[in-house]
Amino acid sequence: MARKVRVIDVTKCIGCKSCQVACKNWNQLPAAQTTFTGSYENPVDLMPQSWSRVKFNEHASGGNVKWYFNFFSCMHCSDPACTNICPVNAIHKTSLETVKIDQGTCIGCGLCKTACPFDVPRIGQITGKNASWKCTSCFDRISNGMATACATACPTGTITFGDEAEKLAAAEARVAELKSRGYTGAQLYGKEELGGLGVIYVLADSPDKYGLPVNPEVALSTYIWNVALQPVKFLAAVGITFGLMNSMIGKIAEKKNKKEDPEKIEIQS
Amino acid sequence: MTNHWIDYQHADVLMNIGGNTAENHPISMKWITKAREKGAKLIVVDPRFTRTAAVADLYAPIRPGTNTAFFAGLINYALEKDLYHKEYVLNYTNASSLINPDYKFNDGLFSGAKEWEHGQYTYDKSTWTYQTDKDGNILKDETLQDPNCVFQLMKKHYSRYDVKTVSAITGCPEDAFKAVADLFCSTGKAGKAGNILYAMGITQFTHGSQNTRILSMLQLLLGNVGIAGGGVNAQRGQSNVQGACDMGQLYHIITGYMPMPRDGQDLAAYNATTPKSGFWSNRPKFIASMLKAWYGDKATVDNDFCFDYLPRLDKDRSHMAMYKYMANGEVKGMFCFADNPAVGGPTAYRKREYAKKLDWLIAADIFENETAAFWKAPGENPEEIDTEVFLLPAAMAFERDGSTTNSGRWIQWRNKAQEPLGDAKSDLWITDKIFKAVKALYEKEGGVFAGPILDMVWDYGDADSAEKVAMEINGYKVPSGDLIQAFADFADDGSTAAGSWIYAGYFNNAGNPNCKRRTREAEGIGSNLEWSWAWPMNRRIVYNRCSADAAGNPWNPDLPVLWWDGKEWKRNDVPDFNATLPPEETAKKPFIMTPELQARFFAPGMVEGPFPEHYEPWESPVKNIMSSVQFNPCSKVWYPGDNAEVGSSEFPYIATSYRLTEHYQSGIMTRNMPWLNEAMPEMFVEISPTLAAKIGVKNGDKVVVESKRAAIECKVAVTPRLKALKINGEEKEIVGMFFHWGFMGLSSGASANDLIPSIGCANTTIPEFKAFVCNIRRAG
Repeated sequence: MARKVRVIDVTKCIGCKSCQVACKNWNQLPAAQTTFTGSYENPVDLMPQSWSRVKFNEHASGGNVKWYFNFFSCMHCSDPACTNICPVNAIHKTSLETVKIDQGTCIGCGLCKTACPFDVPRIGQITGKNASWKCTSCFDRISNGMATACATACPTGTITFGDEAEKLAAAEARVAELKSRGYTGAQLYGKEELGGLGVIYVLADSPDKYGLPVNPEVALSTYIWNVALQPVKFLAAVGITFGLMNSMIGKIAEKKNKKEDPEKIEIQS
Repeated sequence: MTNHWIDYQHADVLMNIGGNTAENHPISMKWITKAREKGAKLIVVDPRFTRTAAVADLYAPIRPGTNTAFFAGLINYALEKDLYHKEYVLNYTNASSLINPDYKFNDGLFSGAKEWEHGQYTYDKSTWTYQTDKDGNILKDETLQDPNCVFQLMKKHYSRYDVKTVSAITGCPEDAFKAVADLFCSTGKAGKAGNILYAMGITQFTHGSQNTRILSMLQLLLGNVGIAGGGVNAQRGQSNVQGACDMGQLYHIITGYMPMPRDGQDLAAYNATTPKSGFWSNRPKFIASMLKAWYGDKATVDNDFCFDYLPRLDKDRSHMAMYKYMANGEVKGMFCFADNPAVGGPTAYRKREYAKKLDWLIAADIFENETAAFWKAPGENPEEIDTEVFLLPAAMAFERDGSTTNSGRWIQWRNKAQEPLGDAKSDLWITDKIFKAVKALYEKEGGVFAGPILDMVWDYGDADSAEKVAMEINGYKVPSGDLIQAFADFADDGSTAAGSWIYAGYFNNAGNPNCKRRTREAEGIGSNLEWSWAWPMNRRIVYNRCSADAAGNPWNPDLPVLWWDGKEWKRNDVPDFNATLPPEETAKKPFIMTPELQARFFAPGMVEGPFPEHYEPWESPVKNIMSSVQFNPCSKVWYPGDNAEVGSSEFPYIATSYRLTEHYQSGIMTRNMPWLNEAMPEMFVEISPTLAAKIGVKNGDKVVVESKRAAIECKVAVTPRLKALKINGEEKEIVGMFFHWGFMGLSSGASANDLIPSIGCANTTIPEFKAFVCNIRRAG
């Protein structure tokens, strides 16, 4: 079956968080206790019970203000680092090329989180045991011919869902159109990145302005680990090497993911 | 709305002012996005950079409470630069009508001002009149040159609002104002459509009605009324508030926008106030039909159809008046259905205070709200409160059948999605049971003035059928019971009955009524005439004669609403004129709801003057630079001395209030919704980085916000989206706050409306929620 992807056209996003709430609703995820930290953005990070969120990015320069919103959840990579690194093979690609974690198998070690170039999976207890959680791309919906909950709820057409080739072509056309209308910074994100993501962004400005890593990379050690130690990686994961590996991969992942601080306002005058 | 949501896609320029459509009406952005994809431009005019501004092509700041001056400036700009639609103005408005030469305007007051109370005025409107010939026909000068013609008077009135002056009043920088003016006035020609979409940031002022008037005047000047993609589009803040108004839920009007009977009026006196021309001349038929629906066989020609049973507007019965009477102990009991004035009302803490004066309070809501729980507010001792409170659990919208009327006047039937939880019941069930119990008591015990109860038609069955209510609203013939098809069927002889005449036709048959239709339009301009039903007459764009020129050619051939093909009118909408006549016969009378059959630049019906004039809000940091009249001279002052003085150093900041996408109104629905609380957990106010530096707070700190009336404590967002504005040469800071929070619910917090003054619009009494003054400081 053809790969299904989401396109996030941030130029149409109004930050209403319909996607975020629809995600919780469809997946029946418990609400998290959050606090106000100075921004409309909440929750301020992904959580085991919050798989998607809208980032609010304020940029002020020369008296002008820009307020960029963008939807953020699992990118459903072509060759996911999390799948490669998982010591118990709890993470796999589905028939629709989305990335799925089997929480029954998951041991909650957190290697997937550290390996992820976008820092997406979160470890915690929802069903009684510690496990890794993240966006499923609504596999239960899309495998029944429906769009994801976020795309269905979106009022402005910011999030759309469909076959990869068709959606990519539409996204490319949109970028060209935006450029012709004077959005000189318009660009596609996710087509080339990491060999093609399952979530494609239409951006009006550079990715870092939206809280996205400019050049997402998977640590080489993720692959080495996977190939070299495949036969014994479960034992290794629960053994003493776990900490070492975690910090090695973690450092690279952190470098790639400049964590935005919602309290920090970038003001250039 | 004159137009409807789907029609937004046809605009060339949209101006969102006094509203925040992306935040509060997110679905509107579906159609605005479509328009923008075709090249339309979106302008946002707002005191702060909003979620709508984030996706706008042009953003201009404005000081809260200065919209009249902003629009006055746009009118002046369009007239000065010759950007208006001349043919439209000449034919479709009263621009050429001659006004009484004794009409005058001087230093903020119009002719006929008489001192009233608390330094306020009322008007003798005898000079706000047309010049007429001996037969009563209005005299006109179609060259628009006569100094007493409406056009020249308007031009003179608004010539005072040059760009510099407007900028000094509004704080909108001159270049930003000019950019807005140039872009929006680019729609002042044939074939171009400009849409003004607004909400409570236009209406909730002491001069709110004049704000809507003046933006309508701009739209008329630019030829943007009655055309596809144009319009004066009030976006309703609640899903069915349009329906509530249509059903006469306002204190001064009854169903279908008929006036509430005044004290001492009998039916003859009431009918004597009927306009002589225009469609309203049919009003006696509508009131007779309403009374027939309410009192059935008891309503006869001989007894004026029981007109005497109707309550009379004996004195001011508006929200603020009612609470004043409650404070005085004149109100013994209150029904409060789906309303939460203890959070949503002006000077909200007083609503909680005054409720103690009630003997009883019956509240119905889906959650226990602050109004019902006033006796357990922080600091209250329930032992000292004697009010008996009944809380009735109400079903929510999706747990009951019924229609919802959207801002575009579309009446859409919704079926119940599930049974209400627990003991919750629909409003209809609750009302039905209360009425029947009250009636039984009157039957058993008698009572003062029992007729209105005992003679009331009440036959909705034991199953409280919403469809039976709908059929009564739609109207039927007497005695056959045949459902009315259109309001032309109404008579004043008791042979027709209808709850609200403007709904005639929406529930035109029991099996598949118009409001249940769901057929998408295959081709056309998005009118979707077979999807639901819109009042009046299923018309989607009102005043649509104006979509074509005098000869019947559409101004925009690509988006024809109605057009004359030489033999007959072709249509993409239901005509708002007599379409059996050739175009020349309707060319100068496209506004069938006004007696003069033209739109009014000069409107004598308004309380405070025929032309909107800039007045400051009741609380303002500055003196009115346009005249010595500081604020609307006709607003009723309920609480003299309750306002901070002009330019107060104690309350030096401009304050305004507004909403978030994540929460709704007084928050009672949404603050009990954990997912929404996760997305927006706490009450906060917004200030600029410069004000934050001045008072020594940083993002997320706790602050105290004080007005003359109250103080609240909450967190603060420090954001460059707010900026100080230069008002008359001086920098003035703005504090923006959300009014969703109260002490009940899963997420509780301070109520911003505690700070708001209790003063309202001179015409409608809508409270001035959107502009006042405050102080802000670090908490603790």
